[in-house]
Amino acid sequence: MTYAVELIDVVKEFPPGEKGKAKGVVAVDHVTLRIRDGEFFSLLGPSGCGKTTTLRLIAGFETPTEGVIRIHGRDMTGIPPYRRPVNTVFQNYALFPHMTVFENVAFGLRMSGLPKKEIAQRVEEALAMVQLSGMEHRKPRQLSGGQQQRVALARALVNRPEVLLLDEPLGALDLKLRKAMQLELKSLQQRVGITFVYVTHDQEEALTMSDRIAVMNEGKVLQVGTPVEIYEQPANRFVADFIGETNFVTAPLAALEGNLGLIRIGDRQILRGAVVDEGLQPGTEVTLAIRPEKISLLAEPRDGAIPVVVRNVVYVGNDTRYEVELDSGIRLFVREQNVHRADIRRFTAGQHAWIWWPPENARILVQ
Amino acid sequence: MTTAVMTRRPAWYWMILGFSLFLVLGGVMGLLYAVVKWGTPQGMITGAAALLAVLWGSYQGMRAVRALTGLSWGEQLLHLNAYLLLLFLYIPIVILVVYSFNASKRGAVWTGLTLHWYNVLFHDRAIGKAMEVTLWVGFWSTLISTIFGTLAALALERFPRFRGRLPFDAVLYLPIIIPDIVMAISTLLFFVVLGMPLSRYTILIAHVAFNISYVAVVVRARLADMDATLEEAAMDLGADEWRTFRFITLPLLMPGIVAGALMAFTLSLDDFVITFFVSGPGSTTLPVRVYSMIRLGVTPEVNAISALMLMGSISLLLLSLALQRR
Amino acid sequence: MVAASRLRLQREWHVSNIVLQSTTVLFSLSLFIWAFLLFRWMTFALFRWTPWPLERQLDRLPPWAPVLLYVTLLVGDALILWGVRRRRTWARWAGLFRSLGLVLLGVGYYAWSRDIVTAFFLVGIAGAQAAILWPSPPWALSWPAAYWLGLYFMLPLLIMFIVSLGERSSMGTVVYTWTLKNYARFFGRIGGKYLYLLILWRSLWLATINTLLCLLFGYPLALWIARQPERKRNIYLLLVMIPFWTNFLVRTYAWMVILRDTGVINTVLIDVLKWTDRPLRLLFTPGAVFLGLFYGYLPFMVLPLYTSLERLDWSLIEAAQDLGANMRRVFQEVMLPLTTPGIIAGSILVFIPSVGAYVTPDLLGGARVIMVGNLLQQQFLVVRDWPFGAAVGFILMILMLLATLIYFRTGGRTL
Repeated sequence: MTYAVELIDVVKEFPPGEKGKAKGVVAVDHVTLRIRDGEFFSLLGPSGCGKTTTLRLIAGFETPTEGVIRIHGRDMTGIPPYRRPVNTVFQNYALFPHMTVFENVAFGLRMSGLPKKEIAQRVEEALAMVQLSGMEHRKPRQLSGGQQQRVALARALVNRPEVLLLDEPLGALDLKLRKAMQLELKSLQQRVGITFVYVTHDQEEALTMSDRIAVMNEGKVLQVGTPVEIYEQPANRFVADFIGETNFVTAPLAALEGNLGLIRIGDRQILRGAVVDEGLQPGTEVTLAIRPEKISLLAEPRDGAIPVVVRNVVYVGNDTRYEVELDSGIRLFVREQNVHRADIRRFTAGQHAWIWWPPENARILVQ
Repeated sequence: MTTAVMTRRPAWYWMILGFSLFLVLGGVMGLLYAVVKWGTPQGMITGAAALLAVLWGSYQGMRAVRALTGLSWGEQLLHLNAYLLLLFLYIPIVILVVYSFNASKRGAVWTGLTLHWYNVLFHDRAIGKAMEVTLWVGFWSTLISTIFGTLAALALERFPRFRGRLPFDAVLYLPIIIPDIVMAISTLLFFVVLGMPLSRYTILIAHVAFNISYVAVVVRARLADMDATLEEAAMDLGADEWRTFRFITLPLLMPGIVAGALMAFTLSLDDFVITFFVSGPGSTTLPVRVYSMIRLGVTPEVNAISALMLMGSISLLLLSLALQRR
Repeated sequence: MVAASRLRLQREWHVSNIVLQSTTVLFSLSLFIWAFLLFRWMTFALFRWTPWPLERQLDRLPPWAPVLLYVTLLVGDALILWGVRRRRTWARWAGLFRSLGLVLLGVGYYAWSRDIVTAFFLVGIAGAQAAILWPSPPWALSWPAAYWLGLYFMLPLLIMFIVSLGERSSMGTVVYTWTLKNYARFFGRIGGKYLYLLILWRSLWLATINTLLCLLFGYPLALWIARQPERKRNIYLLLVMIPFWTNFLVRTYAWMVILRDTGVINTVLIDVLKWTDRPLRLLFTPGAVFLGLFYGYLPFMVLPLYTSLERLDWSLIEAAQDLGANMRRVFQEVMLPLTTPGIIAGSILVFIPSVGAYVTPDLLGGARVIMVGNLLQQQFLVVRDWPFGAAVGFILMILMLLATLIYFRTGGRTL
């Protein structure tokens, strides 16, 4: 099967002196990604993780130090940006300030030498698609941030690229507009059926919009998967920590029970969780990751429950956060949804309680 | 009662202000008189009295202004300094222009309005020739230095590291730093040692040499402000290097290039010292010609040509500002 | 921060792709030059062009020879451009080889015609094309300016230094004797007095005082303009820019009209007020020179000061006042440090031309030599002792460079 975009073992190293550092910087470190046709694919990671550099490698603004990049099976080595079947929506939009909205959107079509009539028609369509009809003769600086963002989108989409690259396109918008644009972008992508490669540091944005997500850190791809996989089955501690909120308990693996792992804290408390890596031997230092909302806080003990003391109660609207302390001094966060009015303060600080979770809800990760 | 004071006060202070203005103006005249009659008793006495009048008058005047407008002493001094300096900058220029319309051939006595001197000017063939050389040098030096300076600016701004960048950067600044008289004599020596006869070409060569630096500085400032992702965006949309330069870089850089070109043109038209040294017989520019006319004596004809040059400079400045505002 | 790192990220791509961009620009330029020369040659009878030195020389050849030369160059460049744009290796080598040929042609042409300007020109073109085909885009872009400045600015300075080590012959020409006599003469005593050092000292002294005075009056003026409302500010700024752009000679001359014996002031004193019948001696005095310098260079101080004051964030001053600083402290602790770049730029722009001033002392100071500028002019155009003049010029240049370096060191900024 051919993929829309394929990165095979790609390395990008900036020589010493660049990026303001005396030592060379490896911005992208042996990255392999296969992006399917028609997919909304996100590159997610903290700033400086190499996600933007990866995007620029696909666009052709950077040349990889090692590795191959293919777009629909065609090797892109040595192909300049202007001959690649991709278009980019830039973070700062990069609208040409000396051209009108029409000229901006028409630029790509003009470069490919289409007849004037067809250009006008396609620009009109593109502007209608992003709901900017009637703005053709304005200059970019006369538009609001949201409108500029739409022009940038129209300017890229009008060329009907095989892949659209988006570099944090919503970063400069305010929260409300951003939420609206997220939904709009997603539905737009489904309508036009173009592969989107979307760079963001906002996990919520990535989870809402993407078909699949690649989580990156320090130039490496840590996990690729659907939003559900990324959230429910993080492959390692970084992913679990970066996406959503997670409790971590580090201890040696005590025993294995099928695909469940047991870790022992102190003398008697045993925590259970699903083992991610095959062939893990008891005795290895592991981390148990459990999300706060997957822990049940009980007033009565039950089989496998662990006694705790409630230390802190914080009401945060739709749910309540508890900080509980185990006998061994380890503290965990628990989140309880406020379904009924009585749920709001079921426990108070200092109260004794029990916590329990279905073992498969927790994950045991290698350090 | 308070209202009565309030209504009386402004009028009172206006009177003080008027009186102190009278004192200051009188005092200045008195000081001038003292300078003329320096050494004589009446001169010394008038001088001392005038000095007192100026000091006391300005003190009282400023107090009155303070009461009327609430401006502090510092702010008043700021205003006074600004108005006096602007007057100082413009009085000579205005006098020059006014006297170019004076009918009198000698002296500063006003004998009537005339356009005679401008008429004389237009029939002066030497002036015409100098004008032609000036514009020729100005045009070509602007063209050459604008292209070269822009290219140099592109090299220095777009390539942060290349061998020889630092010395090139330094050499590019040197013509701005070195006194023009040094540049003038070294260029003259160069032409003489190499056996190049002094002509309009030698003037052109020297003018391009100093103009490149100014153009490069102006264009570099513009380039540094330019968002480089715009060029990437153009390439992303299918424009190759040449079209990116043609459709994006050049149009965005144009205001800077035009400003640099106008500056170069003005510098070329205005330059006297360097041109004076490297111009040969039969190839003088307007400033050099005006200089030799001045050395022969102040005449209304020089006033007229100066007034015209002034108008030329002002129109060039306005043109440059208008183009930059667009 | 973000913008800076983006720019750095971008660098590599520019280096690899801008080659074609600059090749096209530079080769189009040279194609234009050959085409224009050919056009001129073909239409001499028609348009009566004023012949250039090159054309005067080529006239010695049969008329078809220059046509052949231009066409060869034109076709060669066009072919190389075509090949390079298609990234052909042969084009690169052909181009480099042709650049070498052009240098040889330039040398040969000079030997044949002694027309050094055109020879320099041919070598310049060859260098530009070699730099772009090498390929080093930054070199290619820098080449025209670097070549011109190297040839017509740096080389003259070197020649000036060499001449300063020579002696004047009785005919007024230069004899290269490799001696430091001229420098010894400048720093030594003449008739018991340090004549030349005194002139230099006076120039430096006048320039320093002038710079300080311009700063003293210019700073409040710039501050005043910067604090005006937007519309008024632009008008006042224009009022300062007009003298800045006006011919220096004209502005100096204006003072001659006012100060001379039959000038405006004396006419008023004698004919209007009738206070005296003997004109006051105002022109050709040190005072007049001083006035001229101040008048001439005041705008050079105000404009950079204004630029830095305009950029000043006024809320900082309010913040300082809010924190209990009085006006003097606000000026010392906030305004002065923040406007230092403007002060340095303005001081350089006033000090350096003031030291080297020639027009002002010449026109307003009379025929007497009172500043270094006059001394230089006298040595070059009157006495014709070029070696000594060159030595004085060299000393002046070194002094100015030192002054600038010190300024930059203390300020640490660019102009």
